[in-house]
Amino acid sequence: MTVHQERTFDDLRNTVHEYARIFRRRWRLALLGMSIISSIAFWVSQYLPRQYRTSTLFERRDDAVLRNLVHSNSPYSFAQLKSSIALDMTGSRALAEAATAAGLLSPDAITSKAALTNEELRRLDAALGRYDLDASVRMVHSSPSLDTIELRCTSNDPTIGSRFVVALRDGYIQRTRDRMAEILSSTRDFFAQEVERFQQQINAADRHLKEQFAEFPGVDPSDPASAGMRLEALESERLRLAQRKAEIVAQITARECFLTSGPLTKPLAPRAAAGAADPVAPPVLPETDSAIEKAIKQVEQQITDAIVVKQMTNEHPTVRTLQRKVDNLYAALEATRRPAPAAEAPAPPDAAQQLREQDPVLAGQRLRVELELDALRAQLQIAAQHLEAAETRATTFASLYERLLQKSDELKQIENRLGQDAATAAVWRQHLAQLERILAAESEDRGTQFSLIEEPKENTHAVKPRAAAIFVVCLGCGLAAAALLIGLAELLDRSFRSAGQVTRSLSLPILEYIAVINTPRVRRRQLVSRLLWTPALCVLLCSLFFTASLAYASLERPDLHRRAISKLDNVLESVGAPSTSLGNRLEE
Amino acid sequence: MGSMQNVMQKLRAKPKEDAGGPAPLPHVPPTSIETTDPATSEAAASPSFVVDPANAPPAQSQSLPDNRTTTWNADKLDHALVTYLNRYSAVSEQYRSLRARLLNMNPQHKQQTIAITSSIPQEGKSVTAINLGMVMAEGNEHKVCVVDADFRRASIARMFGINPQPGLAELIRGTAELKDVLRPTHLPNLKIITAGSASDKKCGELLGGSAVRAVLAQLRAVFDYAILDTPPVNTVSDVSMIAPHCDGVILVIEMRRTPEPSVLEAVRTLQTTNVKILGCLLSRYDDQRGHYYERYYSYYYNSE
Repeated sequence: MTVHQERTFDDLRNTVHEYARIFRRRWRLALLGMSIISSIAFWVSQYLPRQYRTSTLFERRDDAVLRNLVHSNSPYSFAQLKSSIALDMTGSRALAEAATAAGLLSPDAITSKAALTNEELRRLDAALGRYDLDASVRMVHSSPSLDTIELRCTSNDPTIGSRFVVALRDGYIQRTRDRMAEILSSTRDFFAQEVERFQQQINAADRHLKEQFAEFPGVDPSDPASAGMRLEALESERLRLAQRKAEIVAQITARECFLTSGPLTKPLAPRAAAGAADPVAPPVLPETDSAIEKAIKQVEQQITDAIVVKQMTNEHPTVRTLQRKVDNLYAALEATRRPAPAAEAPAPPDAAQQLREQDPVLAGQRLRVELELDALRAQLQIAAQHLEAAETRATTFASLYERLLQKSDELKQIENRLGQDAATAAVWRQHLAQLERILAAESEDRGTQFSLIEEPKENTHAVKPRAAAIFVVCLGCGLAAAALLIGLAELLDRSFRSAGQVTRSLSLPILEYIAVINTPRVRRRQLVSRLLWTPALCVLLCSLFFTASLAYASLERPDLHRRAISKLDNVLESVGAPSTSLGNRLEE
Repeated sequence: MGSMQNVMQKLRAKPKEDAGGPAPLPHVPPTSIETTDPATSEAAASPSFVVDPANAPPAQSQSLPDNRTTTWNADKLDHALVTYLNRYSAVSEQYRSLRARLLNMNPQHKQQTIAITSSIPQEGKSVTAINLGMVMAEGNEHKVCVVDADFRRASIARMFGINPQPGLAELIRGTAELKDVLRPTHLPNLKIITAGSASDKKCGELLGGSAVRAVLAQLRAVFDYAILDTPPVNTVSDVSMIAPHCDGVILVIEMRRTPEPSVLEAVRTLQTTNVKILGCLLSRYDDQRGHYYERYYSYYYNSE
């Protein structure tokens, strides 16, 4: 231990010793002050308002289907119902109804159906404050399907508290049932409205889709790929017809050449002579070539659009289909431009004409060729008509396909929305069906169940103030008074009370300390002092014990306290002293 | 130290029946004061309290006028004479401690006249003077005289139950000789001078005259120590006249009674009159120290 610590310890020890010395010298004064003040405090504590607690215990069972029916974040959910239970039971409306039911408020004191007015709140506060009523709710046990609820009420009158807590509990049960019915019916209406709303949305989307189908006859607007394939088929048909037409033209050309250049040949037409001059030149079919080239350009434009605008790759089915179409068109164009087989050198006109006129076989052949030529021409005419119709169809369908591609996204969205609405409407219908079942259960008292576990009892044991707190406060007041008296006595006492004080004040050496000489005079004085102090302190201690006992009995044994006060009042009345007002207070 | 050793020897020589408890009062004759000759009083006096003058140590100053002793009727004595009535009490030992302290403070034997005073009345001056004188005279080593210098409230004669006249007043006036005013005690070397008779109005005249100095010189010549019981400082001015002629003053302060300003005023008064204050004596000191002291003291002597 260092020197500093030793000094600190010495200072502490000296201080404690000094206080102990002061207390030893003035313990009577301390006891006097403590006894008086503590007795007064104990007596006054009997006038403090008491708080009695009354509680009731009941449980609420929620219907399993109903519990899972509504989402937990919905204002109609039972989680919200649980969390708002305190407000439901101890809110102003609930308190007002309970106060009215318990007879604390007249029935016409609360008239508003919605929130209470300021005047009504003031009346309610006055009624509750008269009995110091305070209600609280505690969830003793909580599970998804079972809640054990404890409703507590503190008041200065256990009977009123018991009545009030019963009224609160019954009011809560009734309100909860009403609220459940209200929630369920309003929820049912809401669900029905939702189902109706979604049904209307579905109908509108369906109508829109039907209109789109009418706009694209023979095509499923929701399936652009099949429309593309159909367009491809039309193009193929058109190409086939064009090829057919080209073949017929070629056959006609060949027969005409045969008629003009063979033994059946009539004098050759200038065109045949020209053809003889260039035997490998292709037959001149400008309308066919231009049609094929035009088709090729259209398809190539479609490929370009598909790759550039629609971001399709070369492997995309549509692109590949268009590519095959281009290839076919090029093949057809190549076929139309293929050189015709070299014709036999025409005989001299004179010789041929002679041969024809002379030979009936040739004439028959000529006739047959001419007939064939007529038939081919008729076929060519039909083929041309078919080709024209096919081109018209292809062109029309191509434009339709273009529009279909442009509207495909919109149609897809409509279809998706339609599907979602249908699914949502199905869920709402399912909820509605469950709700109908639960409503039926609630109407038959098979829904939320309330059962009473513990009835409230009139508890005469005060919970506030506590006996321990009263004793601590009263004795603390007494100790404080004792300390104050000692301090005042020390402050006002100007005599020397210690050797250190003499040394400090006089700066003179102290030769000796002479104790009290026990002379008869001193003994007499001590005896007188004891004769005065001892009864006084005994009386004060007795009064302290008596008042402390009364204070304890008033908190823990009210019946005993009532009897004791009654007897005390009788005693005071018999001696002519005014009685305590505690009896009147207890009567009240 | 020699005095202390003598005291211890006397204490050890106490009767066997005293060993178990406090010392009983000595046997006294029925008369209140009985002046006896040393030769005849030996048989009647208690062996513990009557000192044989033949065994007394040689006096350093002039010899006493007589070596008469007396015994006291304990019933008539003031019970504050604790050093006589209860020699083995803690309070007696505290007076012996005071004696030892004074002797240690005065090795040259220069302070022969010591005034005992206080700031206010009833603080224990007379009790202190008498008990201090008794313990100073114990052991027959010093010749001690206790003088009652408080003419207004003569306490010493009352405490011993003796006639106050003749006393110091007559000695100062010259109407009586020293040998006439010296009263014998149970110790041959302890004498008492009572206050005598003086009206309140003439106290100042008595103490203010030069006769006081002559009386004190006479006392110094005859006794080793003269202990003067004086009036309170703040009440009357007698102390201011007699204390300057003394060799030192002991200020008695009654604990828990004497106000601090009164004591300060008394000290200032004494200091302004060039009085040497030897120190303070705290009377009625009720700290636990006394109880512990008494317990250990009793244990010590019981174990002897």
